[in-house]
Amino acid sequence: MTARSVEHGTIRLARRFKAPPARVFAAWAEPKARAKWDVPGRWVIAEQSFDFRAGGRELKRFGPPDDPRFVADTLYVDVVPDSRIVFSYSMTSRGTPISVSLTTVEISADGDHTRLVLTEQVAFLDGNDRMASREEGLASMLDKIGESLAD
Amino acid sequence: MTERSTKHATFTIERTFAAAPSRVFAAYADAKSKMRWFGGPDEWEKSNLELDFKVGGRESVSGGPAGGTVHSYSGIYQDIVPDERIVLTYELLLDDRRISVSLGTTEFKPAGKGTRLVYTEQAVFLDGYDDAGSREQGTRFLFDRLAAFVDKA
Repeated sequence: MTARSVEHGTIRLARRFKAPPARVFAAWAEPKARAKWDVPGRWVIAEQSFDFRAGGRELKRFGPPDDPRFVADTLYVDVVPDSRIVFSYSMTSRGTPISVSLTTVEISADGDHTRLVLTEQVAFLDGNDRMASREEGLASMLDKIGESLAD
Repeated sequence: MTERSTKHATFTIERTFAAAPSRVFAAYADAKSKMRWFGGPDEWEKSNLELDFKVGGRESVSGGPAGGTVHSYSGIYQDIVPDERIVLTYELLLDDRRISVSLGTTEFKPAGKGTRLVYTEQAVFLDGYDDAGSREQGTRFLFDRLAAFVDKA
């Protein structure tokens, strides 16, 4: 029998990108732009549906190239073009719960750059992930956004 | 134009019930039971509670004082472990204005013959909406009603 536990936490990451807010927003809103960064490091996306709008739901299966076992089930709740995205997502591994998150992405002009602040409020389930590894994964993805905007 | 802002907050409420975890959990698991304690004050006009209690299932109810602001609640179940845990996310609108999005975790733990319930809400309040602790206060009010429902003789 699984020992049930929940660990709650909040992760906050900020980046400054040399691109206008509309382009940073498009990195989330446009399928081709998002494909450039939407998994950490060298992980791969095996399958993905796309439905970026308030009320839209997306499924993504992803993970290491030899075993893309993770599924993210995302629901967009609040979308303000060029400014804000609020979404929830659950993560599972072959049906085993890992976490549920509420993520706020805020985008604002900062001179001729754009500031992005990501706040992830998360409940880790049954010890199947931790704050440190999630923060590392999210930081990797934000760095990849920066690289994709430099292209 | 709406001034965009966010405020993130977390609160935890612990509550002990005389009823067993299976009984307290059951009060969440079907619409007829949940309507007995969930939602606004008795004097509000309310819609029926729509509840599809399964992972990925939706829940919604709306209501408010007669002629006043309509409060619309809409959630989705993210994780369910029978008699032990419910994780959901929900949004709250006042009329057409979205004021918050929340991640709510409810843990049901045995405490003698009764239940220790731990509810943790991680929320983002939107666009200057000043919660000033009212969400936590409102949630405590719901647990008073839940206790009256599950612990009645």
